[in-house]
Amino acid sequence: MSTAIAAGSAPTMEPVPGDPIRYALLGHPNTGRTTLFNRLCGLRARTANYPGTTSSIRLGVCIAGNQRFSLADLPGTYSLDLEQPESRICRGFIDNGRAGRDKPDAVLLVADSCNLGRSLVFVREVLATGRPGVVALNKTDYAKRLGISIDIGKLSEELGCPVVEVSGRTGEGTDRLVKMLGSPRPGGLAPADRPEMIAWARQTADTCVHHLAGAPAGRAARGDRLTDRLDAVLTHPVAGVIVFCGVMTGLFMTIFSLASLPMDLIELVFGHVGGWVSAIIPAGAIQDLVANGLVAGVAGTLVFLPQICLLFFLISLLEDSGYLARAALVADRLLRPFGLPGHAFVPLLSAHACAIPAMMSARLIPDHRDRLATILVAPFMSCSARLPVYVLLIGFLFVGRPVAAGLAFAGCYALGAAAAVFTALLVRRTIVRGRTGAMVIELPRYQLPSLRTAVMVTIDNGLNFVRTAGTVIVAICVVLWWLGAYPNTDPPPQAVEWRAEAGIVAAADPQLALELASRADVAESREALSRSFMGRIGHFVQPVFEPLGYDWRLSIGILTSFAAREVFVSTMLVISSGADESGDTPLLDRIRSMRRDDGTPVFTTSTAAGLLVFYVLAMQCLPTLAVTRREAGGWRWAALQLVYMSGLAYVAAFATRVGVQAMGFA
Amino acid sequence: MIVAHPSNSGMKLSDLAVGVPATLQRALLPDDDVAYLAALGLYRQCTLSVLRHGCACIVEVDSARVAMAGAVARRILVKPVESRGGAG
Repeated sequence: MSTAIAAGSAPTMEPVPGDPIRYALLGHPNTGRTTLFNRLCGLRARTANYPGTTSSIRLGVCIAGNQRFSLADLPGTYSLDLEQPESRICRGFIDNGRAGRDKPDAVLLVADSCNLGRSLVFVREVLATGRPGVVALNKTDYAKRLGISIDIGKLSEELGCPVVEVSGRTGEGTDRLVKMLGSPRPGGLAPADRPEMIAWARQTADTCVHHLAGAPAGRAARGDRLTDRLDAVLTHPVAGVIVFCGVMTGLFMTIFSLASLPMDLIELVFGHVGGWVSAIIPAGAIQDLVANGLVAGVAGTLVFLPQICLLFFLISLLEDSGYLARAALVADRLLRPFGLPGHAFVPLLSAHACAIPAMMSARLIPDHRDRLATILVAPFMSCSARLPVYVLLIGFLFVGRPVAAGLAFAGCYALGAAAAVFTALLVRRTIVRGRTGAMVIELPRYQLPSLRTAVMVTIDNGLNFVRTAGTVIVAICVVLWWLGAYPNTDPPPQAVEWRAEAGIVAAADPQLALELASRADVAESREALSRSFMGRIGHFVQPVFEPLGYDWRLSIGILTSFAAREVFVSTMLVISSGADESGDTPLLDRIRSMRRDDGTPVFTTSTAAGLLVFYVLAMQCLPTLAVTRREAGGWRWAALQLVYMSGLAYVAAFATRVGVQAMGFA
Repeated sequence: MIVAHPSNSGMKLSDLAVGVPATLQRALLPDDDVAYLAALGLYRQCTLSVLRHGCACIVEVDSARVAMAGAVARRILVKPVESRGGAG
């Protein structure tokens, strides 16, 4: 591997001590730009949003001796002149940085050594802007295996700036590249129209690229044959769909199964932390705030991390292997009729685990309108948090009828998916209008994915989630805790009585004492929730839910489950305890025996069916809204999502209740 | 939009046989899509060949594989390159 600096070019940039030379890292998609960025910057990188867009830029620092270089990894683009978000971001960043911040002093252009002629068109286009630059010929390890040799001295002369051979994957040549970052030079190339640039790039590639005779050429042919064979299966109209469904199911199941252990562990650890905090802080408001507000809020944020990290890790592997581009092709045929591109399939599928990582993975979608539509509809997919609610309500509706219960489960998932795709159609025809871009995509070579890149992508996205969405989620959890915990109320007389009895019998019958204390706890919780701000709001909003058949207790359940859907079940556990004095009866029997003030049952068949439909469609998850705000670029999108989903859920629940009643059920 | 002389309109890319080299004559697509195709290497008079018709039309252009939906391939007109023997 070698380096070449054009002779007689402009002088090198003198770095100012303490002020790093700022580089914009640019290149075509699939040139290994991000792999090289990770190799140069390691963990000294962070993700920043580009102003006014949902696209992110990674900013990093690389160090060579006493010199520091700031690098901005821009989205891959094929040209600066395209009317596409990635192209606009690259243009804007070269000219003005991020609204004046991080404005680059120079450009680091990443070219594919295996297909130099193709990369040179873009290299010339960028150098013609007059920015000093350095060109990194990436993937030289693979080029050598194919028998490709590049005369970089000649290429550097032609371009007028330093050229360095590197391999982001193996790290070869990166030391030399970092040294050359101190000597960017403006290329001596004039702007030209595309046909002229293409002709120049071809001629330059013909002059500088040599194909060594012998075995490596056979390797290239073998590689092509392998790609042909794989593409024959992976892009086949039938086999491609089968493989695609298999891969996506595997991805989903892996996330679902592998994430459950660390998620349980996080909840366990934070449960202990809460107990530990309660033990060392004197009882009172501060203890309550820290243990039940802050610690629970942090736990409520971190519990999503395993799913997020696993999803990004696996997606990175799939993307790096070259499969994801093929998967997008296959899925495109399924989703295009609904105004969504093939790229939307991964977010929509992974939303079945959790909408939060799903919406973050929507960054894969190149077009911002497609990305926005996907973010808006992803929460319709039945996430794992809905499962406890489905179990409870389907268990109530279909006692002793496992087949009907199974069909109802499947129906819930189908209803969510149908709502998502039809909403996507509606969204693309109204508020996010615009043509879905033509499905044209470059298919990268198949290769073994880089674990290093996958780990870096995972760490970056995990930290980014904790830093941005996490802070909002913690705040939301604290507010909801406060609404549910205050104002303090006196315990109900019966709870006081049970607690007194427990004290009396403690020595003689510890088991009974524990049971009485447990009953007292439940009764106190019920009373506290009923009289809390949340309880008062529940009473206040109950008339709104009256058409759905909900009394004030179910209204509280709806409100508390805004923190997370599964909270509905625990709320029912607390609220329904009044229906059963012992507290030992199963939850299903308890909610069955819940009565309104007029003595009629709270849960009827029609109410439960409507409630089930409500939970399939409603946006009962404030952390998801926080992520929508971040990923879609504003609270207005989150508000729209909340209003639309809640409105649709309300109407559908009402229609379901009326329909079930019309069928003769209570 | 790429415009060609009417007599050079050619055949649809979706109808081009696998392995037959052809030159791109015209893309009957919006300007943004035409510019994107050009940036990918699919510009007027470029030489390409179809590798596969399946879920999508996969073409080889400039040593790269580019896949496009059938609807896009049907709106790209190409002209097979005549062999030295005059066939085609």
